[in-house]
Amino acid sequence: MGYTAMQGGLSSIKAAEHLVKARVFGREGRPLDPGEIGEKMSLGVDRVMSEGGLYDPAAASVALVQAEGDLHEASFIVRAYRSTLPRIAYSIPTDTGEMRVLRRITPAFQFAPGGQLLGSTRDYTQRLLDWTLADGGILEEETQEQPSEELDRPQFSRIADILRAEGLLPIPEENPADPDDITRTPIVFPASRSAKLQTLARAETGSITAFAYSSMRGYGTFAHGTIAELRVGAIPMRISHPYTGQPVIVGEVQVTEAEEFTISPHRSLSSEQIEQFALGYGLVFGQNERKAISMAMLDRQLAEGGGAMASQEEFVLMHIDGVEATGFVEHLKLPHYVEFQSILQGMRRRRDRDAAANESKEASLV
Amino acid sequence: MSSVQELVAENVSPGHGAYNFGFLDETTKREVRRALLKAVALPGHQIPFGSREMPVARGWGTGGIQVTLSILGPDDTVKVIDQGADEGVNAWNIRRLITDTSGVPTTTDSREASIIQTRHRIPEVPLREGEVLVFQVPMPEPLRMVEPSERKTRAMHAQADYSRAWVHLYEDVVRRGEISHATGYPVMVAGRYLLSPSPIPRWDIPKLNMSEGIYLFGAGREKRVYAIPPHTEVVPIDFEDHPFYVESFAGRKCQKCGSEDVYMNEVILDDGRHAFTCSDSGFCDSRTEGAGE
Amino acid sequence: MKADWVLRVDGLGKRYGRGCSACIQNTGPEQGTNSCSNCGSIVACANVSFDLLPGETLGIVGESGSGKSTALRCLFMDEESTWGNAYLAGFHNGERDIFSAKLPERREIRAAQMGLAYQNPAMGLNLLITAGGNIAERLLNVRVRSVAEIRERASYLLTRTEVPRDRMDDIPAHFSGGMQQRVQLAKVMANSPSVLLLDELTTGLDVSVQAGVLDLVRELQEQLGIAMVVVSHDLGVIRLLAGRTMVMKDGRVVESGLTDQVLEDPHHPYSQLLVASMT
Repeated sequence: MGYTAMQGGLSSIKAAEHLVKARVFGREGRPLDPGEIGEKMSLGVDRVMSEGGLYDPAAASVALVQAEGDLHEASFIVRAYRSTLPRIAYSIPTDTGEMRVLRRITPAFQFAPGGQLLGSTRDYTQRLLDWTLADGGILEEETQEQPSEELDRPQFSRIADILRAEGLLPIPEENPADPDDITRTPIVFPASRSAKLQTLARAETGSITAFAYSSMRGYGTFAHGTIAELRVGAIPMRISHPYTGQPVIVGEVQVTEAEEFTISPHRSLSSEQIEQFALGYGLVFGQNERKAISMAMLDRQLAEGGGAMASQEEFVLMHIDGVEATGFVEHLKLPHYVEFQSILQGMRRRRDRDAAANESKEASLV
Repeated sequence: MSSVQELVAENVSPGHGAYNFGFLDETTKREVRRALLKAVALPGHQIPFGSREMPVARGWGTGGIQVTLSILGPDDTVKVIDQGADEGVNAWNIRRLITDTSGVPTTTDSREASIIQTRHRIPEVPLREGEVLVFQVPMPEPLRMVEPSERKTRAMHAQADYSRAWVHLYEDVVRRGEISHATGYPVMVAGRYLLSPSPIPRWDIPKLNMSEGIYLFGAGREKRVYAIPPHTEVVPIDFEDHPFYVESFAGRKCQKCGSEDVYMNEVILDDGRHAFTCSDSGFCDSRTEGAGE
Repeated sequence: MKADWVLRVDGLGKRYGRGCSACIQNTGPEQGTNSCSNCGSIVACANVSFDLLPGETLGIVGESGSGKSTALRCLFMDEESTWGNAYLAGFHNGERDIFSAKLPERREIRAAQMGLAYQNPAMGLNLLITAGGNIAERLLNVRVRSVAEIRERASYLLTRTEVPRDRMDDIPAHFSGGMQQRVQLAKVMANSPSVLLLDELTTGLDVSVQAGVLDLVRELQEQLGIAMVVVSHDLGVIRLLAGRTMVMKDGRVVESGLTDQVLEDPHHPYSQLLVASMT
């Protein structure tokens, strides 16, 4: 078949779309039930909400079905959906101490008021591939008495508050200013803390985990901070009522919150200050503990500064958005042949030039 | 020469219900033991090994587990502790992996154990001859605090060039008036290698010196093992005028057994008061039982 | 028999590139180039030989590209030399070539026997640890194990090099270039090496600061009597510090002798050019 000019662009796209959709619907001609996904793949849904920057479990579940389980694709779909939604109000700041706690651990003390509540976690299970799940699975009867879900009144003292009471952690200053909104104004450097935390909160989990990991392996400022507390639970969202101006609860979001304590290695010698801990903070949608912990660690690394990768503000914050990163990396699949032709031409020119030069050099030596 | 079917039958895959004694296949165990033999022959030197992924997450004890499972035999008695406690959830998870795949008896009394796997504590009762303590190690490289590059730290060990570690300690004294290193204090083994003893408290460092038992260290994620054989000189690096010191629990007593000469946990009770108990729970139990008799 | 020299250098040379048999004859002041026309390799320096006597300062002068700094770096074993041997009286009585030393021995030589101060102080200092810490490193390398003693000696050295004592616990990253050089000098002298190598020590400093640092080196020479090799493109520096001088061009030594003689009555056309340009 000889050369023909490019044609049929639209029909190609439609054909590709149809192939994708056929996969989403499968052999039985029926997509997976987003409700079931939301229930039994809630951790995937949580990650999609977190990286999509939108708390909407139903939307995230549909996105996962639509994306055939591709978490980056699903987050992308949710982000795009977010852009279509009008902004009605800003929430009033919530004290996460109000959390309806589902899970709470404190690695800093063997016991602290409220104790260690493991909740639903795989941390202490063995990752042995469970083939029985292919045959319908076996669910053992729970013999232990489980505490009721309703642990609503906070019985858990914040470790941070306990240390503040002893003067070991500084009391944060009141900051009445509104936080920056990176979805409205692009981040500028040096970045405000609110801009940093927002960027981290919607970051791609793997990328911030990698940076946090690097900081633990010597490419950072502290060898080992301590995670003081990790909580998973639901916090209420309040807005000012449009008529009365009174705060009203409009719903609740499930979040994971992590707090890290570090000691600064660069304590100034001339400082008369007595040593204190510094706090790194992580808060993400849904249950995503590795992300919350990594976020808290990077909050500290970025604050501390220094030469390591994890402390380079621009390097970290510009490259951890999954939607942007995957988009740009994958854009390389777009046609680049105009550019490539130009590159080819340049290389051919230089090869010819150097070949001719070598020939004449050899000729002159003879 | 076996047929393919016979080979397959001999090496039953776990998906079909059966595990080898001690979970790992025999080839893996032999590999790990060879690395451990080298480690014992070169006290304090880190030996790389082909660390396997385990059903427990990296960073949660896979190195210690591989060492324990590789040296485990049917006559062993195993104790597993985390931060000194047998009841810790991660200690339970590791213990059941060991017992489910080996059937060996377990104990909480370190005096009865032949192998103790530990996360970040050495039991209060000194090891007996022939007893093995297996440490779970997060960061095997003591020089990581001054140099992130593996290539460079290997060269530093090879040339016994620990100058940067010493400078680090000097700077620490200048900034804080003392060496402020908390857990995992670097020690010099047999006068040759600088070693990270895993994040054990200073309290436990003196126990490393001239022990009757064997100390084995397993770092699964970093893929190293190392060892301190019995009767080896192990000394924390310090300055003549800033000598090594241990944590102090002066004036404290264990709430349960009354001990004063142990490393303690500080707990915060529901009413906000701070209380102290033995970190080594097995030791605490034996003291309480002893008192009861 | 004990050597009367502190340092002996014999036929030192360094080549970059794959090399060929014609490299030496194709390069040098007669050819006017460091680059071998046959294989393209660079002969940075070759056939550099001298004896350094105790307490003596030897100057090596030449323009940029003459090979003087390369020779120094090869001597200090920052780089692997291609040709030649070197001997230190303090290393096996001068009977073993230091270039044949194993890595731990090399470390020992660089830590205890020789010191090199670089043109760029960032290369000789760790800018992120305190000034005192930089000096401490050298003392810790020879197993000083008392913080008080380290601080006493660091403080003394910094006073001698005119760094204010209250800067001892500051990091050199915030110091001026001149002060960084002083800290570097204090550092290389910390454990009294038998040979000090100074590579363009004052180049890049303000003229006014240069004078101060040079005076300092002279004082140290007179008071401590350390043998030194001073490399500079500046004849003025050489005249001030060195008793004997070697002139290098295109990687070779073209002239050597007492500094006064070389300056008063240079023989080689290039030396004549250099001296003429001074006046």
